[in-house]
Amino acid sequence: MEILNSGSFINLENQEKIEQLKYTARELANAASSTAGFTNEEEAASKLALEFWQGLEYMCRESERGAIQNIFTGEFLESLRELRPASIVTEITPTDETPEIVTEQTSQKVKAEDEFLGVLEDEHQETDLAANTDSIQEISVSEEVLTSTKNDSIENQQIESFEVVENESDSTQSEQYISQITDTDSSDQETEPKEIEVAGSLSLPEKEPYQFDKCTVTATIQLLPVIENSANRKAVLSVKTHDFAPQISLVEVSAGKELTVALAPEIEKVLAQYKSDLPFKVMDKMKQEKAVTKRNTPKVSIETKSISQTVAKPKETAITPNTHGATAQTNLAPTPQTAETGMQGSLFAI
Amino acid sequence: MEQTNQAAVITDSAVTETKATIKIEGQEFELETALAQDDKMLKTVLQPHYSSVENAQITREVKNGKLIVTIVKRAQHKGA
Repeated sequence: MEILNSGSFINLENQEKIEQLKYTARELANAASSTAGFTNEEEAASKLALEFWQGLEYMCRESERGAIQNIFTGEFLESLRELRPASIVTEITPTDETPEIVTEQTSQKVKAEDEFLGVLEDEHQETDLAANTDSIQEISVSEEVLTSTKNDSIENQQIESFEVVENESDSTQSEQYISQITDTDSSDQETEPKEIEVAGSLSLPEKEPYQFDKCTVTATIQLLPVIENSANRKAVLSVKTHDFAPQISLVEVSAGKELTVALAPEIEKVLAQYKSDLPFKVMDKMKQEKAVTKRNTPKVSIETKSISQTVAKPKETAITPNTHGATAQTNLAPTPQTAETGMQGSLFAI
Repeated sequence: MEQTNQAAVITDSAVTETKATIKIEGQEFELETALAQDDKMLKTVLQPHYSSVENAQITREVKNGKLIVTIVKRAQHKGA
């Protein structure tokens, strides 16, 4: 593999060139790390990578420039990191109690940096690393990276769980911690459907009962224009439910006050009055409905009367021979005609 | 010839009652006389509950000092 000359053209389709670019980045990183006075830190390394990239003046398409630059700087930083971690981990973990956890988290951190070239995150981490030599604080820093998307409550739980890890220094505790996180995640997922259920309960029934608390009440406020040289403003408050006529009332509120404050007691009064009047409205409606049904039913009753009369007439004719002492029909049981209704009579007659 | 919505007010006596009776769409209810005297005001007040009032024919009469307003919906074109 050869080092790519400065000013040479690179395109993403040419894999050979890309490999050469990576090789160049690795070689430069090795050279930089071996030079005396070079501090192998993330911030300095990223700055150096950019300087190298600008100095090399590679030619590439404008659309591919960003991607190719990322490949170069990524490779450069990666190779520097490979040279770095052993010394840093030993600096971070003076005790032998939690080395595994720390190395795992640093590796996760490295992965995150690879993906996004995490310049900003690295700054925070580096400053924290320099400031804190305690292992608990180191864990909390990496914890921030891991749980940046979690809510505050989860973060609190994480901190608590890490205190446990520090005290007991047991790998099973970290497993418990992970299970706690998954539990909280699952609980979050469980809460979402509940919210949906609450939102879904707003559906209205097809036929609402005639009760103030159980039906839709429409209240309208109409603020009429203020009359000149008047300190008060008139407003029309109307309340309505179902298909009842609205209850409209004219109120007067002082224009100087805040309208909502001034209107609130009036609205309450109007609603209370409507609530008390609603049963009477319902009763009136029931009466009207009954009257309507009565108007429709008389035709049927007249028809039944006419039928009963026609049926009753033959009965009379059937009875009359009895009274006149016919021989065959005198054996019939005496019928209590006085107590019978027309229908019963007709039944007996049949 | 354009037909007017507003009918003449029949006044056999002066309005003395503070509440007027409104008859609309087979319903009857009480309303402040001040709101029922003017067509525009009446339409504004009733519009939220009776959309047909906009082009309705309004007739007023006074019986025993009480204003009685009859609002009759006018037939409109399809889709109106």
